[in-house]
Amino acid sequence: MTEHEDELRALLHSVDNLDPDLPAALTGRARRRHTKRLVTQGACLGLAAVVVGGGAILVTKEQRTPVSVATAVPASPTASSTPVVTPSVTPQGRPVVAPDEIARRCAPQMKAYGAMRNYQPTKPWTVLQPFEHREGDVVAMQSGANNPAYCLLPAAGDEAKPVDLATFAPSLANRPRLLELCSEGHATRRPPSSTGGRSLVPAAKDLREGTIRQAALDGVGPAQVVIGLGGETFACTAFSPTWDAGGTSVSLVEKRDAVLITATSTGASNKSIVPDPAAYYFGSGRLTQGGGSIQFRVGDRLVRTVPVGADGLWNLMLRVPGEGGIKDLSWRVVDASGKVGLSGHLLG
Amino acid sequence: MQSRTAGFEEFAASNFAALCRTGYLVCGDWQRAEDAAQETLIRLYQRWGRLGDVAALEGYARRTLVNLLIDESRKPARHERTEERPPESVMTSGTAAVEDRDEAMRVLAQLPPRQRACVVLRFYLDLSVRDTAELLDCSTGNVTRLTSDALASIHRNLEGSQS
Repeated sequence: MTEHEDELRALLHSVDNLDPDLPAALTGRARRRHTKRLVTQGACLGLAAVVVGGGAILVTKEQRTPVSVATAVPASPTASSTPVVTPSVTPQGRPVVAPDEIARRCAPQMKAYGAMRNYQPTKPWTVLQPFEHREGDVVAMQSGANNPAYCLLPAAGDEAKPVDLATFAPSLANRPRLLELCSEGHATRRPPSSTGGRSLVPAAKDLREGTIRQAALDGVGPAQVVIGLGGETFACTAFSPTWDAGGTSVSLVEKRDAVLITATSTGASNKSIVPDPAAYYFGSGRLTQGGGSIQFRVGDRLVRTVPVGADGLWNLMLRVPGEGGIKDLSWRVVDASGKVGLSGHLLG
Repeated sequence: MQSRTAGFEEFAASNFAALCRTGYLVCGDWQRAEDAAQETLIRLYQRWGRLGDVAALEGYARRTLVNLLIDESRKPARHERTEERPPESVMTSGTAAVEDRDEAMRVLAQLPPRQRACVVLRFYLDLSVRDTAELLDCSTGNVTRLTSDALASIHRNLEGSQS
């Protein structure tokens, strides 16, 4: 029986990777119910207790609160990398639009996108993701199996209004939009590429109700975002549509004793449509041991230090300007006492 | 009130995920597990300051969580289920973990609620027979019997799936 007990233990511990976020409103709910109990208990003692506990009138039916707060992760030393709190997208008052109607309303935006890219698809643009979409939402459209393009779903009658492509550029100032870009831009109909060994999520994943736990952006460029949803943690790299196509990806974050980094380069010499010559290194993960930091070096030069949260989470978006494309980036994990642990190379 | 809140928040932050995971194993439904974990912490707040040290707090939280889920499983009309399991995540390197989780849920689903809770307490939380009995409010002999029946059922199940 012992062998089966060991097997059972291993199976049961397969849930250990599930890591839900504590709802932000929980303490408030607990406090309100506590106040209500005190009022109820004290009601027979006289009117004063009811007056003192007037706030309890506001207590309504208990409801599960889907909005979560970011966990306490140490702030990154870089100005652009911060743990953040994200409100969920609130769809109230905006009607759901059917995919065929989305395709009709988005047609002018797709035409403008095609002109910008010098791309005239032969197949019709269709809605990429099977999520509900409402007016004002970002919707990924796809023609055949080509890279998706974004549409800002207009109200009926507003189809001809031009939409600036900067609307779809990732920004840390617009958290709900970041979640939309990650949910929509992750192209699931094509095989993953240049993933550096990361595990992509090939199924559609609606992260719009997720919680941004960490986000990083270095100058103007892609954003690296860590998102919690339903007990799991996802890493997203969100690219602007004005960048080289097909970059946005989502992967599941799992505990591992390694730092997996992906890289891309820009500049004419790197055959990129982004003129600024630079290399971008990015990734997110969860180390089995929390605390400390990860140091990243190009050659002997320390180019970035990112903190490792108490829960092991780390997040990197690093821009190294200059010609020459992708260089070998080395990393090493340093614990809170300064002791060096794991280490490795991007190209090693 | 401030120190009460601070202490509670610290406890809630460090125990919420574990309560959700335990609840998920006990009931097999992620949504219900999260709801039960939240309800557990809210009830804990009402008794904050009267329970003693962290071990006592953890014990109270586990007991409340498990009893909430067992009580709920007895009700004829369950809450509406919007999501029975954590979102599906099929991935290259994580497939094994997801498959194991599915297998764990399949094995546990065969067990009656109290046997299931017993298995989770004994083999996931590694509680002793005595602690399990106290938590489930029954005798140690009852725990031994529940565990034995559950393991026999799981044994048959695992043998069946491997043949």
